[in-house]
Amino acid sequence: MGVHCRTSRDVCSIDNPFMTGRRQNHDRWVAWPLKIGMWLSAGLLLGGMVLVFVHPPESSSSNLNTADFLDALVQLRLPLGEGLLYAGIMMLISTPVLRVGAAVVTFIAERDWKFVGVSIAVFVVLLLEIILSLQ
Amino acid sequence: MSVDSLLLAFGGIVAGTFGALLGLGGGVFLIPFLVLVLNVPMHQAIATSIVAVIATSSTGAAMNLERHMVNIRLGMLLETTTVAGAIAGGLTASMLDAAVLTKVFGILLAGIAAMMAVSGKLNTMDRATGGEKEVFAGEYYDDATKSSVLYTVRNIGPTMIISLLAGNISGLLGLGGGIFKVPAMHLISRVPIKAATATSNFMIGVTAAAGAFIYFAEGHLDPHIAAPAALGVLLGSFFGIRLSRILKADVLKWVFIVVLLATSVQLITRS
Repeated sequence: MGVHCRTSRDVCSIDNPFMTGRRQNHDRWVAWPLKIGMWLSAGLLLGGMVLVFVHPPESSSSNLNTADFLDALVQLRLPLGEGLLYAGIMMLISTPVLRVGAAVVTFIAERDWKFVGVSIAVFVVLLLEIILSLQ
Repeated sequence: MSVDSLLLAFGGIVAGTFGALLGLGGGVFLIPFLVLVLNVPMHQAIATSIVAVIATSSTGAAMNLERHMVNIRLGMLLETTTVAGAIAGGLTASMLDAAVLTKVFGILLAGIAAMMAVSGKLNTMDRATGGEKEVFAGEYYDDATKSSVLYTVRNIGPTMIISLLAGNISGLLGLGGGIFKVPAMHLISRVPIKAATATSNFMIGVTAAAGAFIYFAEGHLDPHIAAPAALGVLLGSFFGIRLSRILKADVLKWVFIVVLLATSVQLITRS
């Protein structure tokens, strides 16, 4: 008999031959980009909100589209507060893409080629959708 | 900090709590709040809601992955059909009568709620025996019952078809697909409700990400609205995930049924 999870943070090594402790350890690999994206974007958004509150912009640059945003970024036209808000939102919406990338790496480490293919397919479709939307 | 920012953060906390708890993302709660309470234009409300879904998904998935609640393989497989459905949704949107579709799905949700209500306790302790589909087998520790839950996943084909429809519908009706995916995983594939909501949380961020870039590219994303809402959602998601750990699966199922019925009424009246 194998060992079942005894606490919520246990790496379970169970009877099921397909559900190994190694596989469950890889759950944490996929969690890392999510955690980094979450904390980084929360910090940027909070910093941006504080700066916008302390130094309200003379004219708000709300609702920039991607082209305007990139243009403003290159020319450093955005006030720091608003720049941080946009950076935080960009970081947040990019996090799931990074997560799919992490899943590809995890499945490669597990040599699970079927799921390497599945996750690459999701990654490619997602990137294509993003590239098309930005044009 | 303006009153509106505080209200946005409060709305975000409520949406994040229920979104993370039920694997829905929170759009069902946040969009009516933004439109009806704060008079935010619909396009901006949907764009903010999509950012909120990503915030819920990222926080919820990060916390659930640490505790092995997410079935990554099942989630990745269902994502392929959800993304295909979302693309098809964009293509078929102009061919279908949105009002009729909204009513049909409203009635469908009421039916799903009834099915969930009459479904008995699932036998989740089936032992894995090495079949092809047991590549999706999972195990997690349930804090509410202080026991380990081992489960296998069945009938993946029909659940993939429903995920395709969920992707399609989320594009057509501005709904998160979680409201269809969680019952499909639970009722058809016999995934325990806690693992189903955790796996749904994991998936919805990816579907939402593509939509978020589209709304950003079109200039609908207002950072002054999205930022406080997203911060509220991030905080609310922490509460939602912690709540999901201590709630018993039956209680979680009944909360889900109530939200299904409320969404069903909302859709039918909207149509």
